Amino acid sequence: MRRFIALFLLLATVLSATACHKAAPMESFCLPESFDTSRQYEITFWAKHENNINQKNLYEQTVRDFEALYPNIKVHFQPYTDYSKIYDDVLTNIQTGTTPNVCITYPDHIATYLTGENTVVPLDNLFTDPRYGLGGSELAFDSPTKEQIIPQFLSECVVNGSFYAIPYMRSTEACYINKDMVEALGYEVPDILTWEFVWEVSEKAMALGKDENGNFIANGQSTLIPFLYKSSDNMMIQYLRQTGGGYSTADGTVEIFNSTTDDFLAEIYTHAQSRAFSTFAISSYPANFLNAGQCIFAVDSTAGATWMGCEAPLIDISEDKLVTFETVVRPVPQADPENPQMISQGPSVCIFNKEDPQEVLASWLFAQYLLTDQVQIAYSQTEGYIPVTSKAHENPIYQDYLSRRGEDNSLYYSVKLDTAKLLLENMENTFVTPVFNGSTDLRQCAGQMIEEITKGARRKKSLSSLMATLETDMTSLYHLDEIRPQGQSAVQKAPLGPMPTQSKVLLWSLGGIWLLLGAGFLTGLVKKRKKKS
Amino acid sequence: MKKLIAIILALTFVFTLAACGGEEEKKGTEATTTAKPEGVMSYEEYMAAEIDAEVCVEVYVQATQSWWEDKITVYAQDEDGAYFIYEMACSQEDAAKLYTGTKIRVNGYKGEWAGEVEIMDATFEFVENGDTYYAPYTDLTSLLGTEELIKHQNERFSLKGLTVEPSVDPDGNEVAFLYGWDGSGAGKPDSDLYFKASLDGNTYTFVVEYYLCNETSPVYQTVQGLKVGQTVDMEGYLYWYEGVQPHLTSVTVTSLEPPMTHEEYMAAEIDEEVTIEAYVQATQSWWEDKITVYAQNEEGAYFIYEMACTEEEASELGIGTKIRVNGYKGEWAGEVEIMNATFDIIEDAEPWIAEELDATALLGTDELINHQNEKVSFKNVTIVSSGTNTTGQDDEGNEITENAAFLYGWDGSGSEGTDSDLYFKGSVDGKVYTFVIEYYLCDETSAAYQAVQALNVGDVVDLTGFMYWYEGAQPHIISVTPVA
Repeated sequence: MRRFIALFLLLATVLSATACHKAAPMESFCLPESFDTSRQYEITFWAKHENNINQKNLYEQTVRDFEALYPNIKVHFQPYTDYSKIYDDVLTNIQTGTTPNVCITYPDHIATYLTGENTVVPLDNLFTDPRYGLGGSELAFDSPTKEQIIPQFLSECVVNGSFYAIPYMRSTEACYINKDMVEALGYEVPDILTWEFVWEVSEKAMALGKDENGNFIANGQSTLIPFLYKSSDNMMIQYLRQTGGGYSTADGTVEIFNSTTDDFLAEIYTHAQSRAFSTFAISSYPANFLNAGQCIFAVDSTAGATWMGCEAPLIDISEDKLVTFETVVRPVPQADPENPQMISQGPSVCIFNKEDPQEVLASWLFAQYLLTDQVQIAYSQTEGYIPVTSKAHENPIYQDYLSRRGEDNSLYYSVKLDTAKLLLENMENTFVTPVFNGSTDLRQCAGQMIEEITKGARRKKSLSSLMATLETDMTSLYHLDEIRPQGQSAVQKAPLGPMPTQSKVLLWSLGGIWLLLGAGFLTGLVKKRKKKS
Repeated sequence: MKKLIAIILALTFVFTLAACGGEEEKKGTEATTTAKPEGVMSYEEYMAAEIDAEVCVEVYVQATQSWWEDKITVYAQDEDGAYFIYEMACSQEDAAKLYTGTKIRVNGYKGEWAGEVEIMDATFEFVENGDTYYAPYTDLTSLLGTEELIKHQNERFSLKGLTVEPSVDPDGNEVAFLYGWDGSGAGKPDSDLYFKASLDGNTYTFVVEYYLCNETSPVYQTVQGLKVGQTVDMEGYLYWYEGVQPHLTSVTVTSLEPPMTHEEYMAAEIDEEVTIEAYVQATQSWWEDKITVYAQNEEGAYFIYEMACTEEEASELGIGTKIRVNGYKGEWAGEVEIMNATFDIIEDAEPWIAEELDATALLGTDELINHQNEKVSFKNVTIVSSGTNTTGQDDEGNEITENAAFLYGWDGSGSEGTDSDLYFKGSVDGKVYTFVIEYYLCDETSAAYQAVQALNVGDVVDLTGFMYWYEGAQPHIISVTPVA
């Protein structure tokens, strides 16, 4: 019996200890009156770079420059090469109360982080604080004002009605085109591509067939994928936006399963069947096929522009595979050329709450430093990014940079500057998808549907058989039926139901322990009473 | 008409299922044992009758072929034996009532056609208040190839454990089945399916008779999917055509299809479904019910990318474990791999660990790709600079750099303490090659990872790994040994 009780006590202790590792809810952040420079602060900064040493070096330089301005703040930079890894690590560290101070992230992710109480600091008050806010008087650097952040990009950082991030860099997707091949097929590259155009040219390339050696006539090689898309989720999202097909409502109602989606998937199916279309997940990097003359339309992020084109500064294929051609850059294919729509993407920065408000303020100072012209312009030059402030856009250094398109194939690489120009000219045509808890899953679902249809077509499965279970499979895979529109808590929508057996056992066990302890106590008490009497 | 067939087939199916329901039913229902009415032959009398003799029997319908121009062909049986009633006169209305088990009285003439004893030019009537009888499926496996078998002609039978043998189509290709006896029925709408299967070295021909089981039936579809080498169980009626040539109503594949040889795998088209059997040589770390496997057998090697795998299953994938993998062949940046794969562990298989192939001399040759994904070694590789690392600043603020023997990430953009792969370069015979320590294969706790972290430019090492490909050879290294 004693062993029995001991086991239960041990279990209870273990459970209590486990509970101790879970971070207690934090008080909401309250902006201190002033920044205490007499104290030393150590903050952590988690950032992702595009497998690009220049970006990593720039982050390190930024940290050094900031520390020179604020010698009492030590910034520990933790580089990542994968957003999903940051996301996973943050979620893990929310549980243990060891989140980073400053973190490069996407608003989608923040929506999930916010399921913890006071985990991420709302920035509304920090933005407007006259001393430490944007353009504040007490800053040791020249910060942009709130008005100087491109409104379109700033609005993307609103989650649940508050600013929970500041934009850091912005990019979009672009279509990198082998102009020579398009023209050889009898077409001119239009200023705005339509989906119809891309499908038509792609199919025409395939229709030319192969020569007696098994090489495609369109390019004289054994490999040809006329249309290759890097991010299939963006492909679906942009198409639905362009056509007005549903994706999700702002509050998180899933709308993606609709006839527009079905029609688009059916279209994709036919081109996957003919092998005119494929995706990164199925075939590899669009840049590699483009640069080898095996792809006509390669859609990839403008943040990957330094890989695109046969003269790109970064090349991943051997020199003997490179083919010389003219690369032109256009917005992603459009449904309505008069009203182009393209995704806005790129990292933002959020700040995690800490018990010490001074530490949070130190974090904010560093986060804000990332918006200075110096950082913004330098980072944007590493890829086809654009700065997120009009202050940086208007800076003569940035203007000079833009004007030197094609001077070399490194800093002034023409394709990279073309992509920057593309986004600068289309800032008002960009959009982001609604952010809610589950929006990351919905985004993955959007892409996976294209992947499934494309793979299925290539594997000779019928469209009807693929479509028959797609919605069910996707809903299950990404738990879309568990997404609750904001304002409808899971508790309201779904009763908790009966308590699990394990929980019942535990509670009964704990109750039993207390009864045994109580019995022991009473026994002792009785004995004492007996003695007394 | 189709509805009728469908109904009959459905009923047949239902009754077949019912027959499977219990041992008692398997034995068949007992026909009422009563004396035969006057003028009605017993099975013994029927069999003794001369060919062309007029015969009269009372039998129980077991199956019918499709009704056609007031005729119907019936597979019938009683407790003593079976009958094949060829093109019996029958109205469409009556055909609809010929349920399995129904008792009918048949008048006709005994005939024999290519060895098949049958009743021809028959008429029939329903036996009023007749009982019903469902014949059991008699296991005739042991009688195959014996003189005894013909005594069961036309009976419902089952056969177990036969192996599908190749047939030759009109183009000379070996196939598992033919449309029509010689393959000439391909593309025709109502072709019978013919295939061969063997037992104990003897090969027999089996038929899915279209008018008994058409293309919508499970047996037709199963046979269309047969592969040579599969083991099958069968049920049907013991029809005869110049020897036994059963009409099948059920085929069940009981064996796995034979795996592809490595040669067949390599010859398969991209996106083609592939099945291989190989031995695990290494795995990357399990993640979200997926695992990436380096596998090999005596013929060649396979890279199985993100194979579906539970965490528990992953723990069973020890080196040398034999697995059967089904997935789709893919190619990604030059790496030929199996994608969307599922697997089974082949129990009781002796573990097998591949010997490393010394591929040093193959570096830089076209031959190397023929060993893609194999376990290989490279001897006497001299480490050369992978780039430069900044180690600090001098008094004037200039960066001090040193040659790096390896990089965290392909361009040095990774860092220690993260999950960065290690990239390093080695020289063999004056030519430089890139090698990778893939973090998810050998993480920072592994000897290989730590050995690379300790490398210096100029070191000479032996390397072991897998011949991975990314736009060219880029081996995944699992062992780094300094050369004394």
